[in-house]
Amino acid sequence: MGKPTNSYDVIVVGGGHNGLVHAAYLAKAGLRVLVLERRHVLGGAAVTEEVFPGFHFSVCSYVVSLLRPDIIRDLDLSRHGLEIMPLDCSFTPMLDGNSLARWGDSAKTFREIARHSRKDAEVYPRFGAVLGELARFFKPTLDESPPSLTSLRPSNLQQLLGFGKRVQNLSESLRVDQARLMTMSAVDFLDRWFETDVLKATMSVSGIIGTFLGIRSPGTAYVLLHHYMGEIDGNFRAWGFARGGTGGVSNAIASAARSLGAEIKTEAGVERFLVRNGKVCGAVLENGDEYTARVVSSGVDPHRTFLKLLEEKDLDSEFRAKVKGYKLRGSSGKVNLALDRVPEFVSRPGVGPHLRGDIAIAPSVEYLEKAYDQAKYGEPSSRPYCNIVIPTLTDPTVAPPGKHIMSVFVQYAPFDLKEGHWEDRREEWGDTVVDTIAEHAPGLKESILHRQVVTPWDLEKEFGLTEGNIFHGEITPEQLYTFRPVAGFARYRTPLRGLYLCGSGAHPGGGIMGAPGRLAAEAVLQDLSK
Amino acid sequence: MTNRYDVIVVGGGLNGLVASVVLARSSQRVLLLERREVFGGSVGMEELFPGCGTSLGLSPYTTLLPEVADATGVPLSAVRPVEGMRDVVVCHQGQRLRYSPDVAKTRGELQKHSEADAKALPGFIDHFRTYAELLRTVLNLSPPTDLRPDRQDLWTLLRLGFRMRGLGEESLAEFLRTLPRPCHDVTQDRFETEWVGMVMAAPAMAHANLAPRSPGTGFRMLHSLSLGQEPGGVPHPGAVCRPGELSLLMVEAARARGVEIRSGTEVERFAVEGDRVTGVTLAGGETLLADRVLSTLDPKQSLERLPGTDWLSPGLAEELKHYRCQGDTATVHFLVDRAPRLLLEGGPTPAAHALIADGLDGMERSNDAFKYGKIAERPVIQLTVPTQHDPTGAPEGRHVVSARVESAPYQLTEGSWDDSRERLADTVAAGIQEAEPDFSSTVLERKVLSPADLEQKLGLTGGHLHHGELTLDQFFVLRPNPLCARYRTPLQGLYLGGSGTHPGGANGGLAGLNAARQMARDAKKSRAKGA
Repeated sequence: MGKPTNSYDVIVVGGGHNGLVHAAYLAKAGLRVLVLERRHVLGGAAVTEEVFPGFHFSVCSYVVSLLRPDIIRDLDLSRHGLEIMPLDCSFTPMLDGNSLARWGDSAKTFREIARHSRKDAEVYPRFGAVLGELARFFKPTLDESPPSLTSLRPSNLQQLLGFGKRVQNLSESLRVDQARLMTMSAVDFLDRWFETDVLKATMSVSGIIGTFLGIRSPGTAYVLLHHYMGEIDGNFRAWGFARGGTGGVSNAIASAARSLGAEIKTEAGVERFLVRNGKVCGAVLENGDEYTARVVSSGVDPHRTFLKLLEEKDLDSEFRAKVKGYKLRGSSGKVNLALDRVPEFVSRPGVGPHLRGDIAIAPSVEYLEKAYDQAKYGEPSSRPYCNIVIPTLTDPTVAPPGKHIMSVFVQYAPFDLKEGHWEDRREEWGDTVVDTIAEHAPGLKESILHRQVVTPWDLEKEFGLTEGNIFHGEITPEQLYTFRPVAGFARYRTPLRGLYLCGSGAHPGGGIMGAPGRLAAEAVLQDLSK
Repeated sequence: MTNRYDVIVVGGGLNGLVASVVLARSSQRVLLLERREVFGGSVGMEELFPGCGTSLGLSPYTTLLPEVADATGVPLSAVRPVEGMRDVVVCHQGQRLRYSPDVAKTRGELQKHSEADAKALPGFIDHFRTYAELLRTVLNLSPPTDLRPDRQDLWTLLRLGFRMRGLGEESLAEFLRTLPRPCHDVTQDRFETEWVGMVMAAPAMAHANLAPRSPGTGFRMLHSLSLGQEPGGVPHPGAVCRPGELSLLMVEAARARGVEIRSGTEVERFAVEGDRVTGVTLAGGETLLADRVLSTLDPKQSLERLPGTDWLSPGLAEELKHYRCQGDTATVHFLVDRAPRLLLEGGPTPAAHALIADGLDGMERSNDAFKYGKIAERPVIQLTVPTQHDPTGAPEGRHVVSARVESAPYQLTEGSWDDSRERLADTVAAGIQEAEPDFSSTVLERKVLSPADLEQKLGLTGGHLHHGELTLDQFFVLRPNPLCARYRTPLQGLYLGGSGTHPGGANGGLAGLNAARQMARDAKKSRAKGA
């Protein structure tokens, strides 16, 4: 290969969904773009793999939420095969034989909640309306680069002023709710509205996914909003399956990027960035190949970007210290099951529509808080929170005919174990998870054909997620918006010229949103046009 | 003399005292009513054992803040300085460390455990002193209604904004990020040992059902640092007072300013006409009239018990229902025949208190038990021996050791406090014994005050010492709730000025001061309107 072919406008490190979105936008703007992916498949944590013959697992991320509508539109993802099928139900079995299901149909939800509390059933839609209003307030921040806190540049002042105006436009009571949402724990916030314990439990878990916090930890109420943000995008409900598994999203974006002219290489792991005269100007692969570019965008997490792919001398020590202080404590893992048949739940027998959405093992507030208590000291929860989906009930193509897949998201599983190593405790942990679900669905064990256990340690080793954190850094107020990943560097640029961040470690964070990839592309284009 | 006053102040705790003095200085005719015979509320003194003036052990010291000194005319020099009064001796796994606001001294102490931590200390203190000062500006504001600041607030906020901007983007961001963070992360990012972390975590987790790993304890840490009410070690302007000293100074000042003071006088209810409070009715049936009433009792007493609930709007009733004020503190007092040597660790003069805990994880576990209504097996213990600073407080050869135990639930899930007092005393004695090996042989008598006892003794709903958890969601305009902004209430003429209002508990009288200023402003306005 001659030298010129190894030279690009932009190299994107990491072919996850954000890196691919980033590449697609840059290619669309006419730049020569190369994506380098370490694994043999694209998608990062948004990936589908045939783990057992005929069974296509969404190995990590299992539902799509908040994928930005303008990205779907700009990249014409539907034409490239993207199809999202909504989850219609959220089902929470309880050990006393009772259960709770919430549906897309509000009348059905009313009847369900009224079985537990009539008052809560009446409050539920009002709660939704208030959170919808607040989501409307926060949503614009997902689609904009965070402002600087101190800059007096007119565009920055305008952005800050716009934010202030949005605050002013909220009614008095919404303003109070907003202040509370930002500061309260999910449970305390829900306590103000509801009395049914299981309802509060199952609603509050959205506040802790991907963090190392409990549902009683202050600040977790804010994440409740994310559930409502998707709905107001208008294109699909908050959560949905992609046809063909979550990898379907990544494949559609990759196809769009390729058709726009981006070049994508798999099995091309980057060992380090090329730095010359304080400027990042390319990447060196594990096999020694070198690629140069005017700009390098990193889709991998901030720790990997700054602490592994760069040498210590490339960054000043204060910045490095701040990156080290950026928290990526992994708290979750996955257990993926290949099933002979769909197990029935004691609390609601039959394979009905209640199994077509997500199933939450979150029977009470105390159950969830105790799960967290154990994890704080380095032990996996003996009875963890599980979020289960059975995608084959909606999209049978991902398993052999008549067979099923159960995908189980599990929290809490600390990356750093106090005793033993994940390598030795993997199967024991898999058993804990299966036992936990089997308490509600006793037939589960007999129906398991194959089992894949993905611990936080595997998430780091196999998927490159530092400490197994699924969001490239915890979603907590001090690591969001203008503080993500490091204050002063929230606008996709880094202290090193030529190096940009385009992954979930940048604003607005994790989940299959694609927003960091797109916003980072804007930053790169802006700088290259200067 | 008629029995009509400009202002009746209910509650002679520190906030009530400060407010009375400030109001009297603005030429108001003030009556101060206190249910007990002693003043000072939870920072006052008590005779638990015959002849022994005992601090309730709730606060190792209080601080006369400069703005309180200014507004009350009690000079900082009125306080008798005591060496070592802000030091804390930390006991952890058989080791001890004396932490003092004198950075050089503490560095020396830290050096024995970790060279790196000793090096990191000055930078840490520098940063957090700046942040604490910034927060302090907010503590002096009267929380505006509906987050709509008036001209004076705008001016303050504008100045605050400029000061914040002056920090530069990075420091400003660090300050803002500290508020929602867990204090565990804030300290452990900078230190390899847990000594500083423990000192910071103790006040940060107090009275709020929080633990070192709870988000928002960063805010609590800065809050207590900015008021200098807890031995955090950040030097601050102000004078440190021995337990009980500040309330006595304020009683004196109140008398000198012509405040009429009645102790042993319980208010049975407020006199309410329509939506207006016109005075108070005493337990004996006597009614005293006033233009305005300032209640420094907690929000539930001030808005539900004393005015009755007839006037409560559903909105306010709902707010009060969700206001969190379940007590979490018990105290165990030991009469001993020899002062513990513990407080003399690392210095010639006794430290203000000792902190006995099993490291940050131990502090976390202590809160885990509390969450489920249990008393921790190894609770966090804070120990004071006021007679070591002032031997006149007890007969010769006698000392009173007061231990404050956090994570002691007001409502136990199993059993009652009547069955649990002695068990708690044993637990605490064992904890102290570990840090002071011959402690139990010195004990002559002991007394336990459960949260329920503190509720009764001090008139605190739920026995909550801060009149409600001080967390970000119960701070500023959210304290006690947005319907009571600017220390006013929906009942005309009734103001709130206790720890259940901004800026929260352990405030050195700032709530009373802010409330009194607001009342004086409002009185001036209504006089102007009347004229």
